[in-house]
Amino acid sequence: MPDLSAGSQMLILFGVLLVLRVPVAFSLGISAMYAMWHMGFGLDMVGDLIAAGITKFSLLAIPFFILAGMLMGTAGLADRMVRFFRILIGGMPGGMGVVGVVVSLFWGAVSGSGPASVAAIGPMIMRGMVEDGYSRAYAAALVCTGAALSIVIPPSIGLVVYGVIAEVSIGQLFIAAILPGLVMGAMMLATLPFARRGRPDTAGRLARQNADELALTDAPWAAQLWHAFRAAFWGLFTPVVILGGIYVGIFTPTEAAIVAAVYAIILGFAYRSLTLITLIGAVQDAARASAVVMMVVTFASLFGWVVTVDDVVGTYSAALLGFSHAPFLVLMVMALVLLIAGMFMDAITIMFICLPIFLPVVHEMGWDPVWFGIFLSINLAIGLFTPPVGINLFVAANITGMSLERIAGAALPFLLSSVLGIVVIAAWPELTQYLLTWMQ
Amino acid sequence: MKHSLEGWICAILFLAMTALGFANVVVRYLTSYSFAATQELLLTGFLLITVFGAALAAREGQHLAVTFFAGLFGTRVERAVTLFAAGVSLVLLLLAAWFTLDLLRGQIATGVTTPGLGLPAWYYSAPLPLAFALIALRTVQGAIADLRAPTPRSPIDA
Repeated sequence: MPDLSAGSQMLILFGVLLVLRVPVAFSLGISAMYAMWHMGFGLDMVGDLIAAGITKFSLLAIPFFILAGMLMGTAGLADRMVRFFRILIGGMPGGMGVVGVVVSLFWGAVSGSGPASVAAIGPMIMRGMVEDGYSRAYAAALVCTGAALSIVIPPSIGLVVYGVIAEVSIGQLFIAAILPGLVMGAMMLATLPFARRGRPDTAGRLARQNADELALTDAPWAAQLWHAFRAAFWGLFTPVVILGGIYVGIFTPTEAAIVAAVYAIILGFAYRSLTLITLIGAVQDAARASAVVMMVVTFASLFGWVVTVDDVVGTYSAALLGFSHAPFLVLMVMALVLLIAGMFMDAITIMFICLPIFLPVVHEMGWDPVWFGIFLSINLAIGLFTPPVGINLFVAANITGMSLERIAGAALPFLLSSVLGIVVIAAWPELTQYLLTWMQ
Repeated sequence: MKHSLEGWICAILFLAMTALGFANVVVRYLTSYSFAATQELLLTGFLLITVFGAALAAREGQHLAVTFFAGLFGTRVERAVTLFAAGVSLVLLLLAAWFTLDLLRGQIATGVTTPGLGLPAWYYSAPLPLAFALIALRTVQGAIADLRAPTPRSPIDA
């Protein structure tokens, strides 16, 4: 391939390795090393780039947010939240669907990762929705979509990585993401009335099991609600701790992540749902999950080095700019690329590959990089529940024993409403600005 | 809970980092005094839980990969692809082990120290070659387990 630059060869090699199921991180590493060697730079700086790729203070938020999310799940906060919202709004017709969306939004403000959210809140919401007459596939689809919003609603691991790549304040990204996240939630709510719903099964086995599990009693509604509220209070308060701290400027996002992890440990021990053994298990799981993300980040830094040196970026972003002078068209092309890439790859990898090409365009067009980060993360959130490779679908299929295709099919209405949501965010960039302006 | 070497390293380091990080926030908030060295220790811990956590993930086949295409052509192709992917990963990880060893030797030779605590920089990078070799070993173990009892796996916790 004499007429292809080393950078382009690297991209092709990377694609081939991906298709052959070489892990993303290692595909990035080996194709980058090939290009460095090919360009005659040798591999002497590889060790240095690996160590420097990891040791960034902003990225340190990632393991702590993952740990906090896992501990909140282990501590049983999800159950308490579902119980509270079920008593509050679950009684109206189709109410469990609304409960599903609201809990997803709240859980998104606790956890920064989509698939982990499916596992934490999925089973209880799905059982409740089926009791309420929704089909199993529809309930699973709702959870997959709602949990995907975890990577939009702060804290979000995707936004941390975006902040580091685009050199934007992560605190600002977190605050800017709140309103668009709520808009996406509203879009989900708007699809609920169109769902086909059978007769609620209020006396069957499932209803009894749910009532048992959530400790629902025959006590008066207000008394039950008050009891459930007290039980869920510290869990519901978590977003205030994390976002409030960042908002008023007490914490940096990394510090907020550390505080959230400690908060979760204290709650877990206070609720007696955490033991030393489960704590160690959760810490190990969090280290592993964080390492999976960070390995991609590490080897992407080699990849990024080649991309910069070889100016692959210039060529492709010039092509993107040359495609059209209409900003909206360029933006829609980007969205299309992100949605298609999201069908096959995870959000972090896509960011590392696409952002070096997209960011110069964002700059050229004079777009606000904070808004663009939110726009991007919503596009990538959709990738979590689109087949063939949507990680949330995998998790939901594992939990329910249903096929991935059935859940994906049921997710179609949510896909349509999410795309509509993207158009709203694209057309209304000020939405990301209101809270930031109000803050100053 | 996992009883492997990397499992214990991750658990102890991560808990220590949480405690240290929290202490730093509290002290800074109460006294507006912050120890600069904390950041250096936290980042080193971060580096280590990343590489040792990656070994945990490798043993369980949890590293993010595009599994869709490999599954399209039946079991025999899938087994071949598993072997190939493990082989490529092994090459990369051994290269990473080699070049981090190279980094370590360079740091020892030049005697470079860290900005925060003034310690020799090689203290921090010393575990890296070992960790990458360990990820390589766990990748091989994971691939063998996968070939013996192929289970449909998905990267759940990513």
